[in-house]
Amino acid sequence: MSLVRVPILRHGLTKWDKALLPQSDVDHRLAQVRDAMRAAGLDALLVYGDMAHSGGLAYLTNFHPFDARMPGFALVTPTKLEAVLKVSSRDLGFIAPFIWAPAQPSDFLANDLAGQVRDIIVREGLETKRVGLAGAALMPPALQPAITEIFPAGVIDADGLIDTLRRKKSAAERGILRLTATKAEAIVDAVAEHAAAGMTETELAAFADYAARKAGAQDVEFLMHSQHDRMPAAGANESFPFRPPAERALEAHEQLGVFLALQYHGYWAELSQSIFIGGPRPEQKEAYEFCVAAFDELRGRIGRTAKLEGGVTSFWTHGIGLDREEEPSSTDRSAAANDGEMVVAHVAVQRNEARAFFGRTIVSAPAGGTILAAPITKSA
Amino acid sequence: MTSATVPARTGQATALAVDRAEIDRRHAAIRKVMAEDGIDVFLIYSSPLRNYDVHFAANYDLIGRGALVVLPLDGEPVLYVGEEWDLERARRVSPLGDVRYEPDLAALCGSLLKTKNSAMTALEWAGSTFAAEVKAAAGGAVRDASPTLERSATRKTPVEQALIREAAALADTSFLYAFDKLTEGMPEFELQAEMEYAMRKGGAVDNFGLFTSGKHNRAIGLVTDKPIENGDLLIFEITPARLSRNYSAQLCRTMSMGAARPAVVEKFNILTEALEAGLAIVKPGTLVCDLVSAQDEVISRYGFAEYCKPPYMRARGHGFGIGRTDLAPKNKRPLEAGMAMIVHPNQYFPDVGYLALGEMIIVTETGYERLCVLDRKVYQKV
Repeated sequence: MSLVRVPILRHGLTKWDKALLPQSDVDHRLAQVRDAMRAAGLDALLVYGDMAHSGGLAYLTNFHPFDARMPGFALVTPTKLEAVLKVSSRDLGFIAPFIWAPAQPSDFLANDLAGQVRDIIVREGLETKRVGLAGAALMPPALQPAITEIFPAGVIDADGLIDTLRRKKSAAERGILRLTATKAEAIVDAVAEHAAAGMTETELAAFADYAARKAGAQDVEFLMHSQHDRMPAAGANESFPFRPPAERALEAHEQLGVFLALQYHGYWAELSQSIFIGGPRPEQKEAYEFCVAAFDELRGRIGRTAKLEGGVTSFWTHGIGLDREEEPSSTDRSAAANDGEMVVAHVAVQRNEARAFFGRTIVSAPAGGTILAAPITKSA
Repeated sequence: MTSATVPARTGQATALAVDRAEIDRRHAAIRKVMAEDGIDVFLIYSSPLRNYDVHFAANYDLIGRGALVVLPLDGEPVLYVGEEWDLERARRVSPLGDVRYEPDLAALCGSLLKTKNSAMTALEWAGSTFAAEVKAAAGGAVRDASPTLERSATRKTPVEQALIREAAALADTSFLYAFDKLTEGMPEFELQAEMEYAMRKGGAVDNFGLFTSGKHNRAIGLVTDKPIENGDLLIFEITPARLSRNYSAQLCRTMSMGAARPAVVEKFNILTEALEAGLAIVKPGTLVCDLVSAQDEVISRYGFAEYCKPPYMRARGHGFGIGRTDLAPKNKRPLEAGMAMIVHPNQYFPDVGYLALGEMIIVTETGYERLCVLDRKVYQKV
């Protein structure tokens, strides 16, 4: 599953709330980055990010590129952190208050992002040093060689370094993720209350978007699954059952699946949920309860469990945080997840004609994961 | 139009259909330019960062890693989607008769690009690894045909124009709804949520939405949790998209929380004069740079010439999505009937800050069609 839908502009609430993410947490994060650099023998770390994959850049700067034309770089040395962002100097004016890295603008019309990175590398005397580069595969094809040419001796792949650090969330990050997940629960709860027969899917999606933005969403994605859609195949690497809303009226006693991805203060949480228009029929209730039980097994031990074996039950999991999909990315891990990782687990069930969906963001722990926010009850 | 209620179905239950006939019209336009450029096999590619080329050619809204339309000069087009889980939906939403799942789009592209006179769009928007795989499979350099596709999409079809009109109506509605909902103390992001609801309920799928409030704004930016205060000026770029970014329309306007200062009204009137001066010369054949300078001349005449340049000003308008034109000072391209664009003399003034005024138009055979129906004034919430 690789859902990478990019909005025209990431235009929701953008901020750095120091009560949620204190400077001390940022300082600790940067210290960990420098420790990892030392352990890897790196003199510097250069990280690329764009709108589709902004997590690495945001981890170091709190800047999520909000326009597809505006990628950026962050450079970490033992003593410095700075960024080059492909935004105009005018735009940097409103970006600066919510990022913590000193940044220089790189006007997207001038298109000299690589040249500006080169100037910094030369200024810092890093051309021939051991420099780690993260995000090289994501760079546009013209930019990648222009960046690597700066370093005649080559660069060291640092994707793993930054991914490993991001994988374990700090207490502050967990707090933001918990807040995000709590908001997501409330939004889907409101959506379930709002849903009614006769309303179109797009109207319901508009309400979901409204509720999310009103709750302070930086970005939001709301997808749906109707009883007229094909259920995902069961088995390993199950497919994704949700799609964008359509111009179709909801039906009485319809079994609807909804999927919400919510970004708040830079961090994403995901949720999938059954909504039974007008309340569930007995067989729908039974399917939903089976789905939640299957999710509970999955939550306890990310991997294939008894309830998830074969049949018509499918599931998918992935890590989540500053990117919607990040490490740990394995779909079918037999080992327990590591302590402190954030994982999303979704389960889809079909039993006879009844369908049900349940997915939540989980804090992993060796003894089994716990749901980040208390699940809602109204929708099912 | 003064009602500030959300219309239940504006633009949504549309009779407009991006059906096979409409796609055929677009393909005919693309093939015409392909023939001019000597292209026999055209690979129209979309990655998440530029997802609207494939939408133009196949009416498929990409939600996965990539998609490709293969359009031969003669013969049936094929839509390939990179996610098997989205194949069924792709077949439902696209009017193309041949829609397939392709797990290795890079290999497919490379293979097709071995054909003589083949070319590909938007590879620069893909990741470097994907691009390298395409080039390796193609056995060498890949001809970039993005300009070919852009040229074919410059003049909007009647269906595209109608969708853009719907988007413009949604922008007007959204602005008036915001004016109605605006209260002192409301955080910026909450007002934007209200605006967004008005347009999405009416059928917008997305919004290039910028909005800033303050006593002296430097630019229009992303919303924050700043409360809107009495005396604030609220500046907006509202850009709902119908179906895709390709059918976006923008509205730029200014509100004041409380009565606007006379200096604000005076400067806004300069923008109105600049907008009208620009629009007065809009017709096929007018150079884009002249449309820019017509606006700049008015603002300069009032003594603000130095603010008509970067960092204060970049462009005096632009189109959206595929086939867009930037109203930039050095753009010597002539306007053509069927082009759609926002004309916005948005401007920073040293005494009152940044003000926003702009309207969406479609260039016609004799002039232009104004898509905005709002008054050209500072909307004052008193």
